[in-house]
Amino acid sequence: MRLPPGLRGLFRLERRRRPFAEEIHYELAEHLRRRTEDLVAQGWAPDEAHAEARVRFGPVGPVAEACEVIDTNRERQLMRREWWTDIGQDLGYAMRGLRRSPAATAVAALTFALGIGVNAAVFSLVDGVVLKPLPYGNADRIVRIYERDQNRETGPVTIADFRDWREQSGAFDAMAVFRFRSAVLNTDTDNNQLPAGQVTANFFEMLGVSPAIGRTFAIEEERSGAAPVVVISDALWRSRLGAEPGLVGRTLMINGVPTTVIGVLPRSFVPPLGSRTDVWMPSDFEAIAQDAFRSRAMHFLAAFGRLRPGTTIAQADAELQTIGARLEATYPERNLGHRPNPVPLSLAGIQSTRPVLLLVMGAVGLVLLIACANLANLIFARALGRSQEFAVRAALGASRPRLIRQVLTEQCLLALIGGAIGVGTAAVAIRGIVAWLAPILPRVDRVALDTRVLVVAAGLSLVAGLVSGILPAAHAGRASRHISLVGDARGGTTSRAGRRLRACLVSAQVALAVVLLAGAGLVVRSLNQLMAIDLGFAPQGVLTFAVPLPAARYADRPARVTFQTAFLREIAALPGVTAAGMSYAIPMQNSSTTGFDIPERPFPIGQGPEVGYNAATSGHFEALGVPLLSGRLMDERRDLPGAPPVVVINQRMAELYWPGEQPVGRYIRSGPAGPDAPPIEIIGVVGNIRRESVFVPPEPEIYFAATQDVTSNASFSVRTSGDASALVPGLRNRLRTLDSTLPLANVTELRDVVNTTLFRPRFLALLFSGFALMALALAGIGIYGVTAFVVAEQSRALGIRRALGATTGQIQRDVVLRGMQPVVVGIGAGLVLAVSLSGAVRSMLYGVTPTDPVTLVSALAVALGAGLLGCLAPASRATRIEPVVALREG
Amino acid sequence: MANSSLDLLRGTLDLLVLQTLITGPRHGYTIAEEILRKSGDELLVEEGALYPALHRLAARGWVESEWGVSDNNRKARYYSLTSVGRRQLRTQTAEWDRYVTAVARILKPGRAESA
Repeated sequence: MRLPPGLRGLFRLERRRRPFAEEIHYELAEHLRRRTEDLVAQGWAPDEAHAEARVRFGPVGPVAEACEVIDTNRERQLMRREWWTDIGQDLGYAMRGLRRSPAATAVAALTFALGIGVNAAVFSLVDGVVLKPLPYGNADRIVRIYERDQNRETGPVTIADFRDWREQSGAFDAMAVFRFRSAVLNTDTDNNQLPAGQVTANFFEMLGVSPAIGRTFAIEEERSGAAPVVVISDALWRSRLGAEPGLVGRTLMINGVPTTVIGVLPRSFVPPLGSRTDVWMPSDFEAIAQDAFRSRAMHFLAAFGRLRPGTTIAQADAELQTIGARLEATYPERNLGHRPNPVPLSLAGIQSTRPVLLLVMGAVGLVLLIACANLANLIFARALGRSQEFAVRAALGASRPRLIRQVLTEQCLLALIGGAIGVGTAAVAIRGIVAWLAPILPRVDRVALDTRVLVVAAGLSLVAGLVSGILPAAHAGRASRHISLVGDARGGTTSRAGRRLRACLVSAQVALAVVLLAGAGLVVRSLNQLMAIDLGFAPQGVLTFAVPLPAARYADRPARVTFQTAFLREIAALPGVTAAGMSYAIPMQNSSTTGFDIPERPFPIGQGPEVGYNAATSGHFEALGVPLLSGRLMDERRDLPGAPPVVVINQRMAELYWPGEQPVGRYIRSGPAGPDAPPIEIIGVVGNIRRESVFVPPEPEIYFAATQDVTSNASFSVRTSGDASALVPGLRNRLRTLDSTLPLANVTELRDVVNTTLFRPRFLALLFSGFALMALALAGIGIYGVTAFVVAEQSRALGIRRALGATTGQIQRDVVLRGMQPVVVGIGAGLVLAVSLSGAVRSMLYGVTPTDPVTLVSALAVALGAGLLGCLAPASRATRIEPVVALREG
Repeated sequence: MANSSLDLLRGTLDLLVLQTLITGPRHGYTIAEEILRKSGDELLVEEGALYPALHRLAARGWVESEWGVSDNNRKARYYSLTSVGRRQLRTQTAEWDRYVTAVARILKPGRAESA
C-alpha cells in the first residue's frame, strides 16, 4: 500500500540521513563553476577564469568545514527535539492505554510495586550495612586486626601482642585499641548503665573523626592518674543531656567519679564495632601490659591500624605474619597458634552478615524477575487485544521500532508508577524493619531510604519495565504486520510463536518460584532442626540482669560477697521467685574461657586445653534448670574465700578428661599462677548446656564457686512461677534499699536471649517463606492467565468438540494437560536451578543438606499444586462453553 | 579587537543576506552577485564567506533552503526568508539604523547635529 510521502513522514517520523558533505561540496563547486563561466563570458581565458574564481572565493576547505559543522549541529538539535516529541507522544499513548483498562493497570502497577518495593527495601539494608562507606576521614585505610587461632578466625587481641605489632610494624602509621566497658551515669534521680568503650587516646585521630563540639583525647589523658575525661555520643547528648552545647567542659558523675565531658561526636559517627557506644573513655592499656600474665593471656581488645598511604592490606598482612611468627617463637606458651589477621574495616564485623544479605538480595531479585515474567504475560494478552490498534498504526506507517518503543514506554511508565508505590511502602516499612533487625545487623541505624536508594529504585523500575516489555513488544511489532485491518483479532489469529513465548514465560516463572520454594523449604527445615535442639537449660520464665559494682566502693572481695549474697537473699524472698542464682556468665549472653591442668597427669607446656569458664552459686543451676548429675553443688555458706577451692564441671568435661572414671573428688589446677596454683577439688558434675549459641554444641566447662571467685560484674538469674518481667519493679526496689547508687543493668528474659541467637534463622525462614509465597502467587496468576487465554481463544474449537460429543471430562483433561505443560517444564528447570544454586545457602543451613530431597520434593509438589489450581478455573470454564453459542459467535 | 570587528562584519553580512532575500528565493551565487554589485568588495571580501552565513541563518530558522533548478538548468540550493527571518530583518535593520546614527553623531558631530 503506497501512501503519499507527507502522510508517511508524519506518522513514521523517519529520519533521512542527509548527506551534508556532498551537498555542501556541490553547492560550493556550483558557485565556483558559475563564477568561472561568468568570467569566461567576460572574456577571460578558461584557465585564468578558474583560478580567478578560486581567488575570489577564498579557501574552499575551511568554508565547507564550517558549513558542515553548522548543519550537523542543527541536525542533532532537530533529532533531539524529535526524540522528546516522540517520547511525549508515546507517554500520551501510554497514559491513554493505561486509563482505558484501569483494572489491568492496577494489577500491573501493584505487581511492579511488590517487586520493586522489596528490592528497594533490601537494597537500602545492604547499602546501609555493607556498601556505604564508613563516615571516617581515613575509612579506606583503616584495618581491624584480629587474632586468629584454631578456634576462630576473628578473635580479640591481647595488649602485649598489640604493643608488639605497633612497635615492630612499618605498614601502619597509627594503631589504636578499643574495649567495651560499662559506664554508669549517676544523676540525682537514677543510675543508668550506658554502653561505653575504652580507647587509646589516638583512636579518633586515627579514624579521621573530628568531634561536633569540643575536642577528642590528648595523649596524656590516657595515662593513669590523669583527670578523668569522656567524649560522648550525639545520641546520649541529645537523649539524656538536653543537647546543650554548653555541656562540653562540664562535669558528670560517671562510675561514681566526677568526669569532664570534653567533646560530643558528630551525629553521623558510627562506632567501628557497630554496636552503640555512648561514653568514650581514654585508657592506660600500657598499665595492663605491665602485668606479664594478663598482657599475653587475656584476649579482650579490638585492635585497629591505619595503613600508611600506598600500603596495601596484603603487604600489611605479610608483615604482621612475620611479626606473629616471631612472637610465637618467643612466647610459645601463650602465643603458639595465635596469628594476627588484618581485615579492612569496611568488611570487619559483617563477614557473617554479608552472605545473608547477598542471599536475600538474590531472593528479591528472583521475585522481581518473576514479577517481570508475569507482567510480560499480562501485556502480551493486552497487546493481542490491541492488535487492531497496532495494525492501524502500522498501516499508517508507524515503523516497527516505533511500535516497540511505544509498548516499552508504556511498560516503563507502569514500572515507574509501580516503583513509586513500592518505594513509598518500603519507606514506611523500613523503620519497622530496622527496629526488627537491630539485634542481628551491625550499623543498622545507617539504613535509610535516601537518594541512593531512590536512584537505584528508579533504575530498577526502568530495567524492570524494559525487561518485562521487550519480548511482548518485539512480538507485537512483528505481529502488527500480519494482522489485517478488517479482520477480527480475537478469532484464532494468535501466532504460534506468541503462544510458545507465553508458555516459556510461564515456565520461567515456575522455575524461579521453585528455586525460592526450595530455598524457603531449606531454611524452614533448618529452623525446625534448631528449635528441636535441647539447650540443656530451660529459658522460659527466667529473668537475667547484672549489677556492676564500682571498683571505687567495692574494692575487696569480702565487700562484694557481702553485697551479692545479701542481694541474692532479698531476691529469693520476692513473691513468685522459685530460684535465684548468681554467676559470672549467662548462657548465650557472655562467655569466657580458661586454661586448666590436671595435677595427676599434666598437659605438655603450651598445650593445655582451653575450656569454658564460669563462676556460679548453686541457685544459678536451679534457676536455669541445669541438673546435678553427681556429687554436690557449691555451697554459699561453706565454700567461702578462705575455704579450700572447689569447682563443678559439666558432663562433657567429665567425659573428655575422665572417661569411664568418676571425676568427683579429683583435682584440677587453673589460674594465673600456673603449676604453683593450689589444686581445686571437683565436687560435682552438672548437665551440658549450649552456652555460646543454639548452633554450637556443648563444650567442656568449669564452674568455680562464685563466693570464692568473685567478680565485680556479677549476673543474676531468677526463675519465676509467673511473668518474669513483672519482677523488675520489686528488684529495683530491693536494690535501692541495699545501695542507692547501683543500677539494675542488662535486664532481659532469658527466653529473649535464646530467641535472639535464633533470630537469623527465623528471619531467613520468614523472609524466604514470604518470597516463596509471593513467587507462587505470581506464578499461579501467570498460569491462570495463559490457560484462561488459551481457552477463550479456542472457545470455537472447544465448542465444536463439544458438539461432536466430547465429554466434559475429556475437555477438562485436555485443558489441564495443555496448561500444565509449561508448568512441568518449569518445575524441571527449577529443580536443576535450585540444585545448582544450593551452594549459596549452605552456610545458612543447620542439620539439612542444601540438596535435601524432602525439601526438593515438597517444592515440586507445591509448585505442581499451584499449577493445577491455576488451570482448574479455566478448565471448568471450558466445560461450560455452549457449543451453539461458540459456533454462532465464530 | 579582531574578533569584535569580525563579529560586526558577520552580523552585517547576515543582515545583507536577509535583505537580498526579501524579493524572493535565490541561490548562493546570485546572493553573492547582488551583495557584490551593491557594495563593491567592501563587505564581501571573499565570496566563500557567504556560505557559512547562509547555513547559520538556516540553522537559526531565519532562512529555509530547498534544492531547485537554476536559470541555467543545473541543480542549485535555493534560500528563502522565513517569517521569523523577515521579522529579524525588520528589527535588525532598525537596530542598525540606530547604531549608525549614534556612531555617526560621535564621529561627525557637526553633520549629525545639523541632521
